[in-house]
Amino acid sequence: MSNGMLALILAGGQGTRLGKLTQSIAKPAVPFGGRYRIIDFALSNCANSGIKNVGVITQYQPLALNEHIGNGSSWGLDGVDSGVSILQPYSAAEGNKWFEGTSHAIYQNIDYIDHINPEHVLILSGDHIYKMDYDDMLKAHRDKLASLTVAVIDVPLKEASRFGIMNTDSSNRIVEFEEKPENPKSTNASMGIYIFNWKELRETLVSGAKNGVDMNDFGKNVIPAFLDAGEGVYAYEFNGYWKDVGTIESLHEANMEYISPNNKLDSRNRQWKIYSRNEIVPPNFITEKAEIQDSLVVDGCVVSGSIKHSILSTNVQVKEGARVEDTFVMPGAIIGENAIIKNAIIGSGAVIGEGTEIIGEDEVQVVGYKEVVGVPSDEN
Amino acid sequence: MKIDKYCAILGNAVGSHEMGELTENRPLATLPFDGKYRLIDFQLSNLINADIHNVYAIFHENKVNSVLDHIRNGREWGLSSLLSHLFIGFYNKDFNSHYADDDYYEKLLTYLKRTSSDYTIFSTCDILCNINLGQVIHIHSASERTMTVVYKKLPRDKMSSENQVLEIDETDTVIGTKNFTEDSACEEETMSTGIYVINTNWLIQQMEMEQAQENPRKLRYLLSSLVADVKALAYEYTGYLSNIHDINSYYQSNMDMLNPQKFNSLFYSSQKVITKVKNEEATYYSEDSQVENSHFASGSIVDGRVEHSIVSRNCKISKNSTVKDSILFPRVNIGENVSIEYAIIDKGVVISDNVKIKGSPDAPIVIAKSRQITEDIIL
Repeated sequence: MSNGMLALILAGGQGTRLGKLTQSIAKPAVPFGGRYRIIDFALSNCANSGIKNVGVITQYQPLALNEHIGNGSSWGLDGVDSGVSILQPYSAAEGNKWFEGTSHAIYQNIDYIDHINPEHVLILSGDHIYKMDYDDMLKAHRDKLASLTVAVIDVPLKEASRFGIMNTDSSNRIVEFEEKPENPKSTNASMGIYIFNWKELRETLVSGAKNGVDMNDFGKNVIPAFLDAGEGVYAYEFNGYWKDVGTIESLHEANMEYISPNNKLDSRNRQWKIYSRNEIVPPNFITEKAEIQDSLVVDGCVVSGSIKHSILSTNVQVKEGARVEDTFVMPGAIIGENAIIKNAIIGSGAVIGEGTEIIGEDEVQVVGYKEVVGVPSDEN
Repeated sequence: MKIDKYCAILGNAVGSHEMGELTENRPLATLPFDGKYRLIDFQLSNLINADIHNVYAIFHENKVNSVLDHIRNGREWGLSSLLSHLFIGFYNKDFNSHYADDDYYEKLLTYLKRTSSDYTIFSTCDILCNINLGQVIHIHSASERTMTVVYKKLPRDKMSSENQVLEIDETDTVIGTKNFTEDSACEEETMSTGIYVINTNWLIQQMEMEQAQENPRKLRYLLSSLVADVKALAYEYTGYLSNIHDINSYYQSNMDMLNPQKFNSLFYSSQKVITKVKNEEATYYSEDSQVENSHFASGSIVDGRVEHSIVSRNCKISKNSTVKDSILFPRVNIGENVSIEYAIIDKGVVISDNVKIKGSPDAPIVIAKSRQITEDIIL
């Protein structure tokens, strides 16, 4: 089903608030939920919504992301009239094309978008965990004859001042936009998901550049400009599970919420699957020494320790006597004998030595990628 | 390396196997193994790991659905890229017959002549191993023989009357062959694995001669009749190998995977075993689950007890149920208070609450695909 909509995923974020976890890879490439990377959710939503063309815009540590996305075949985005393009800054005759803001990144990629020639563009972030039908949002956008549709979610009043708040009239038209207001008038928070008519967005960005008006950021510049111009800007209400995993706490929390088979994300609903690039590894081996309660384990793991309310990603080893609780363990980590790990995130390929204790009391403890903690025994 | 130096012919199985209902609707090649593989994955991976990208696979035309569904275009094995070739050929002569269809050799010869390869590798899916064929090819091409056969020293109880025993002299040359018989005094036999490296031009000649016979035999019988005459080179394979010829040997080789040493030998050697990619969620082990010494593929939900068993994708094991010494194929749904011992439960079987299924170590019970079980089944 062709809908003439091009999706652009903003995956450039350095994600400094994730600290060690994004020192060497972009935030959207951070592992999640045992088998995924964060960007899989946006990509799978695109595939499931019937979007054929996706551009992934990135400028920070792109290697892991590029390898992960490849030709898009993991999401079925490698058909005759579909594809994924990874869009990175490059040098051109008129100078370098670094991205100075969310909408500036779109401006710098006008050539690519013109080449696809879509009727609508869908702007997404690569760092949210959610399942959403973008085609339904497009229908709403068309029904309202909107120039811009912004996906919004109802947030608790006390959190509202962390978000961009969209105040709407009775027909869901956005009449006022406040970026992180101290006294929010409503609880409609922008999810950072926008549908624009490409023609109009293009014109706004180009004339902004021509007239020296700053149009570098969607929230700060573009959305206010659309409102100032009296364009039809509408809210699209989303009421499923949505989580921004931009901090250590929220990444840990989202993983913990994900464990239960009846999670709010509805992760096991096979009608809307999340796809990923799969490594082919043997099944998980649970030895007779293992004890596993309320946890997720995936292929390639060898478990001999005790696991409680935790997630073990691909190829994780947990040795005899080790105890892992309320922890998200990323791929390939090795947890040594009798180690005790609670309330933590263990980075990919980390090695936790024998008897080492990593206990997050008030805040989540993080062990970085390939970090070695304690004295590893000399096997492996 | 010239990319088309090698080609391969992949057969389903040697001779007739006693697999009961397990192979009613699927060839042996697509029998599930260790929760997420199918038998054909092993021989296909052996070929790919040796950089062989030109494969002709032969199947019986009545049982092709599962094959086509599993292999599709060979993408996972890198067989769908521009410089690779995957052909699937069918025959319809009785499965157990030694003799070939009229156009059997015509098709194979057309394929072989078009490959312009120097060497042809032949193997079948009933031999489960992770062999470095690159090594075999290297030794073969240095030996200047027309044919090399891979053998394995196996205890007699792991063999069947379908297997060929090789007599090998001290120069690693095959000097004679005999069929396996139950009543020999040897503890161990040198069994042919049915894996060959053959000079393509010579093979074409042999096949043309066979084609001219009144009743041409299938390729594998032609090859096993040639090994001694041409003084083939014998190459000993020393890794894990399973010779799957009946329900018991199939059951046992799955159970072997719960032995870390055998599991490592097969899966964690230097070569990867590749299978079809599926996107499933992680397997969930609940508060009430009790699991030990078992393998799980992804997508299952475990509320019950699992011991010394293999659980494939998307199974459900409900509360207070026990699965012991058993193999569950994908999508098996087990109700509450169920007890399963020594059983092989095929795809999509649904087992109602309170049912008991019990086989024995030497005779595991097989529950056929998609059945609904509401009554006890005890051997």
